[in-house]
Amino acid sequence: MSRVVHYINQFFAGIGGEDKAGTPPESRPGPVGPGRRLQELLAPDHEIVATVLCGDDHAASGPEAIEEIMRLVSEHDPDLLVAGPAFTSGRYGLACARVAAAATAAGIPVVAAMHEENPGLEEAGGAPVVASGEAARRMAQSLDTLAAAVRALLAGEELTAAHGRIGAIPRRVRVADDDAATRAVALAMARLGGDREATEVPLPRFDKVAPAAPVDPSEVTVAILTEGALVPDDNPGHLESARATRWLRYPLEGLESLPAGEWRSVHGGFSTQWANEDPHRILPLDAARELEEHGAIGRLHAAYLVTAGNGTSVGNARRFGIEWAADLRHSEVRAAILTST
Amino acid sequence: MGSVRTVPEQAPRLTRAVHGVTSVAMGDGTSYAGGTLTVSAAEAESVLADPALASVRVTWTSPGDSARIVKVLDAVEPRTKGPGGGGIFPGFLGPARAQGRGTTHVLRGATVVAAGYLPRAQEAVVEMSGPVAEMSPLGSRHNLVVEFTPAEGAPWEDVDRALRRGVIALAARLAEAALDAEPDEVEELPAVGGGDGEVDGLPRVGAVTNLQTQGNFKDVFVYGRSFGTALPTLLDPGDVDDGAVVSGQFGHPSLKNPTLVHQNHPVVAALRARHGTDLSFAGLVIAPEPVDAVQKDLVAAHAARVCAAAGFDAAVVTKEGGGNADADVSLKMDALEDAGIAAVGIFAEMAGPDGTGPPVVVPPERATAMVSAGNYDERLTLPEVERALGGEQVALLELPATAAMELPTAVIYCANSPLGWGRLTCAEAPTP
Amino acid sequence: MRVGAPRIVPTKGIPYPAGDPSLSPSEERAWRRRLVEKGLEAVSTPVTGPTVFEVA
Repeated sequence: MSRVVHYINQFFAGIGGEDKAGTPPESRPGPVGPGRRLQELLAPDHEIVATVLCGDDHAASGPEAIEEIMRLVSEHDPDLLVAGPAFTSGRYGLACARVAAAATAAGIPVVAAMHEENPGLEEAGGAPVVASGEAARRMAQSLDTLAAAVRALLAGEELTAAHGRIGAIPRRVRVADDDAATRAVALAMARLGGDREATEVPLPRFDKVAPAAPVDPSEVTVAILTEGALVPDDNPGHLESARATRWLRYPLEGLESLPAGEWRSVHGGFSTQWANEDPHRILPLDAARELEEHGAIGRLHAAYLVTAGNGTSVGNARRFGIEWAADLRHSEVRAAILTST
Repeated sequence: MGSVRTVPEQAPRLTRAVHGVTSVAMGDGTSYAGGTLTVSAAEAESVLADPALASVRVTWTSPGDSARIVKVLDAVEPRTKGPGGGGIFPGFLGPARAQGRGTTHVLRGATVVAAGYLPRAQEAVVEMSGPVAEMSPLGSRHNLVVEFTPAEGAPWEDVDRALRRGVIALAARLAEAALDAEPDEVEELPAVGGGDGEVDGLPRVGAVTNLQTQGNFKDVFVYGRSFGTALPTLLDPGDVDDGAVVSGQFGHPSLKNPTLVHQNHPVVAALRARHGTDLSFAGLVIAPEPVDAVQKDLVAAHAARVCAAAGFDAAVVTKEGGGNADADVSLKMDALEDAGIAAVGIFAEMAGPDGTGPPVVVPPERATAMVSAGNYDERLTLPEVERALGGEQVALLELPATAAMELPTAVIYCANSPLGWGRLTCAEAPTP
Repeated sequence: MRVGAPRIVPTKGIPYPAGDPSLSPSEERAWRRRLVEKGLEAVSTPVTGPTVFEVA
């Protein structure tokens, strides 16, 4: 009999909703919540020996949370870890994806389940993820898919699209026979020969972002945000100039403007000469205050969020997006203007 | 069918007299004999002398050395057309006259490399041995590394200018040592861009080369002047052999095109290789990469018109720099395809360390043919080395420059060469 | 448009998304205010997909 550990969030563990999203990780013996049905589907060959659960906010808070979760998982010496289904829930999906990536890195077989459009999906890296429905009303069929994937993995099979596998298949560097210029000329000749399909790079799919419903900015709190790396002059948060791994929050309370010399951009992707001459060219605080005074903005958010959008990996950029959305929601911000460099 | 133009029997062409450099030494005088290039440090230092530089040091490092060059700036291949340069590097060493004719002497296998701190320059690393050496064009060459101490109070712009002028002058001076030597190879380059009996009826394929022109320390010079405010134009491919394009762009190490790579323009080389066989090399169009979105559109539209006027049937479009430069390639690819010209772009993938992110930041909307120059986020492990040139530390890691370290491919000089020098690509890997 | 953000206000250039150094200080300030006003108009406008809000 194979030993399976199941990872779920606080909601599906029956602890509570948003108010309990800060719950730290804990381990319970046997299946919990959706794990009970999953156990029925896996019996008698495989046993869910423990369930590790964690609140969504805590789990999405950073690498330490994932380490805590993985410590609890490892205590049960599982043959396989299963995470989710997370449906379209962003933070839960992020946690399942990160747990799956961490398990893969640690050599523990794993499968996570979430909807194809879950924003956390990409964080799984090369770890296997199978499709679930959009929401918990699709629990039954989602667990059927997940149980089949668990059985396949424990039988030593590789998960494919036939098992409902979703997510990016990693692209790895190879050394070609010819240099890129020679290959490009060969591709141009193929293209002239009528081949419209030939390419070395698949066309990327960008996320379909569902636009938020309109709001009246004069009635709500509006935030200003930037990926132009504008920080206090001494860069106290050590924001990177390229390939950022972090974002920062700096207060705007009591500030009417951003004087040159007190603020600067540490962005490494463009000349910061103009930004440093007048930091408002990156973060339009002066104009936003003016509009707040005239009532066009109900209230300007008391802080701004910043990162450096310069060669940032899509994985990190996606994480920043999820974290920014959560941070702004907690601050009751309803609209934001993000300057993009 | 248009009328076929006749080409004069003595069509103006460029000949490369290639002198291979197989070993190097320091000595009392500068000389070249039997494949050995000997350099006088005192003479090199006098060529490099400038009020903006307090001191300079020159040191050879060769393939197989347990050595690393950090803070690599520009790299130049020694070339000359005669005593005093004879017109090489037009606009820098002599008047800005059109070149690309006559004979150019090339010291193949040697490079003059500037290395050290400049503002806005991003940490750039070259390995002289080990698995990463072959990822940079400098890893297989004998490199005369120029280290420098700026003069007190000298503005950084002056230090940059002094280095550029000095490195070019030194490269020309070294090549002069081979003027009287019998070349190892004589390469007759095809005349390009006009009608030519042997290529009539073949598809006309050209190159569109974007130059990252984004202000001080991120600029590219054509005939000695910044190309930043220019519109796309045709350049005689022989002109790039003769150093009409000089790099002053020190951002995005793996995605940069130093002077060395322009001198040996990989797309031009690939087009010359097939010229007269199954294609006709239709020409080289150079274009700036503006920071301004409206200008990017204008430059793309104008580049497509220049290609159409030059009769291109297809074009290979290349870039320099990171994600925003993807837009310069993609906009041009779409504009070319709209004009009925098949477009192929070379892109370095930015797919994250695990290779699962979307590979291209700004993909074309209508064009589809893309060549991959590898994933710039992929991590590399560098072994400890005995000696480092260019600096004491690796800026990103605050480690001694000689230490073992893990770095993204992005930091390795020209490793994802957007001009197509390298052999890296990407392919889907099986499930881990 | 290419990266799929739902509401986009085009600006003058990468190094100064909320400014334009070619203008005089007072003109630039007015330009910035128009950009932010356009951003507020954007968030108050229903859209179904990537939509560009040009500052006239």
